[in-house]
Amino acid sequence: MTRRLFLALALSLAAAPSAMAQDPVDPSLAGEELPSIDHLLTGLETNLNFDTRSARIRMTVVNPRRTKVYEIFSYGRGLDESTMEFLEPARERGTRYLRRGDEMWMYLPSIERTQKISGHMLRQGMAGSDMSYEDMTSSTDWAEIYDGEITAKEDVDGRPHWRVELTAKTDDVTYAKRVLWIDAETLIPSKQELYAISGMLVKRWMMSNVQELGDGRSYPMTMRIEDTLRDGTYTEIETTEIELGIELEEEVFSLRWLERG
Amino acid sequence: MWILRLAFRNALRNVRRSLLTAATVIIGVALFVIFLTYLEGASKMMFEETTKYIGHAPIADTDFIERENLRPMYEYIPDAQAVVDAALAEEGVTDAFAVIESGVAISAGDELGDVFGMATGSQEGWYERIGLEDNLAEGVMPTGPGEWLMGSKLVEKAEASLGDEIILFGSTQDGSLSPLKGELVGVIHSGAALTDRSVYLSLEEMQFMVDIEGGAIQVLLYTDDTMNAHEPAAALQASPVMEGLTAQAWSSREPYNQIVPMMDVIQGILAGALVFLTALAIWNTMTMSVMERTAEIGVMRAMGLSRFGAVGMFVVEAGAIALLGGILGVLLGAGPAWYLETTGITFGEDIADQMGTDYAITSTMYGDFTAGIAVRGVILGIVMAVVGSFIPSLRAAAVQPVEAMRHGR
Repeated sequence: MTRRLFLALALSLAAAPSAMAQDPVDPSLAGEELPSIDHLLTGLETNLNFDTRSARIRMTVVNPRRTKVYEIFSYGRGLDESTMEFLEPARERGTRYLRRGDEMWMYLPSIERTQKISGHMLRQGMAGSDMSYEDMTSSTDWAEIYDGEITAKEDVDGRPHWRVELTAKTDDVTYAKRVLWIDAETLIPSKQELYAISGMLVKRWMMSNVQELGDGRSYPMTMRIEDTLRDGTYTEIETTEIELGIELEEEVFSLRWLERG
Repeated sequence: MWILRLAFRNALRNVRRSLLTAATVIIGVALFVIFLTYLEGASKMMFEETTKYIGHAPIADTDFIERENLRPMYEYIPDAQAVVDAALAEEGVTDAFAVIESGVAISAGDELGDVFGMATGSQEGWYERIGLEDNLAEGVMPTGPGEWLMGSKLVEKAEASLGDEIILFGSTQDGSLSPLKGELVGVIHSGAALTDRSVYLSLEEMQFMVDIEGGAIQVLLYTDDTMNAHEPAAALQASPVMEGLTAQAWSSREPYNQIVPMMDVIQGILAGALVFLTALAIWNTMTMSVMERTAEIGVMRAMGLSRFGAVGMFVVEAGAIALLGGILGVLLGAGPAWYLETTGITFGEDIADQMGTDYAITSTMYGDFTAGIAVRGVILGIVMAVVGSFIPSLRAAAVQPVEAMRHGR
């Protein structure tokens, strides 16, 4: 009897640490059928990327001193190719950007030169906005770059969202950690918090004004980016027109187009 | 007066010792004159050169000043001309100019390079004030927008030549990439790193680059008294156009608010060290004098010389020697001081380049020998003698007449 009691006690003591070591499940997930991370990220990527598209965009850059509004026209193909041309204001008119994979170039009409954006320039905000060139060139194949975990189910703007924490697999990623609130229905990340390797929160991305496009996907027509390291600044990117499945010539994603338009 | 006559007579009694004492004072004073000539000359040059570029009382947005090291270009003066006009209306202000300075990457020719420097844009009057044309080493002065001057250090790094197309990559007040294109028409060489690492444009071109139409990052005030710019700055601060802006005398701004008092400290340490060393030598010779004249002092004390009188006798004797030594020391030091004033000491451009990013240091720094330095030298010589002779003279005052006369037998 004593021996059995001792054995039971020993087994329970052995089991206790391992039980204690498991992360406590968020109460919001109790009883929920959790989707897989792959499903969420694949759905997100499907919504935000296109075979081909053209779009007209209004970018509003707000800082404590002033607000500046840019009108931009953009072409895109898949995940890796896009171009942009600034239409307004007059100072920026004719400035063009070309992105191919993780490389980016800009054409500056005032000096009639093409400049490759590399090195420290990548960290600068495009046209002084809170969206850096690095943000624009970094891969959106998050399933490849991050390990993910659903940590809660929360309401955002009255809609249920999955709270997903993504942790970078390697150190050479711009944001070592991302916390996403993915709409459970539309699979749009309504809110993101982006963290540096130090653990400091560096940016917030919000996506809203979600509309259903012709091919059944949901697309956020408005994005807001806040740089938490700068007080009183944010950038709002509003898609005013979008057209999918357009025919695009190969030349559109070439340096030749960049320089000549 | 009798003490003076006695002091001179005693000084001549042992000429060798008196000359030794005088020589100590001469060397000490000469060294003081030489070092002070260079110290004051170099610091005066540095301050004059620096205030030439930064103004006697720079005006900037208060938030800009707080984070000046980060150069937040969005904290600018919106209506620069209004501030210039208000400044010129103040008593004591002789000039005021709007200036914009920003870091840029510089390219020359077809290659897009990675040379970094400062782009400066201001009004023509400011370039006249800083004597830019006097430092034109090659080429011509600009005649209009798109024609630029560049410092020799930048020209060398960018491998540029006169007539080359120059591209500057700066940024707007929002941090957006902002390029400008111009032609290199002249090269500036002043020997000062601050000047030789800059590109000089018009104010309007810099306003376009930084995207602050009509604005400036600073308005530089020049007054009729470099060392006393506080008063006009304070008077201007009360003006309504100065809302959100601060006018600050250059000597109150970093790092000059530490350098100016530091120069006084260095001078004090220098003087103190020379006084100490020279006084030690004088102490030695005067102690010997007291010991040799113990009997004589006893007789004089017996005849009514007071303790004060005994102290005074030796101090005045040392002072008389030091007065002569001080004058000769100044004359001895005047030669090297004149050399420092006319020829200076050349550090070499590498050292000036390394030191000259915050301070306008030229590769050759000159001394400045003034009447004030000569007077201070003579006074210092007397101080050396008084300090050195005081303790021996106290010993003389403590001599008991009977003991002293017995000692002399």
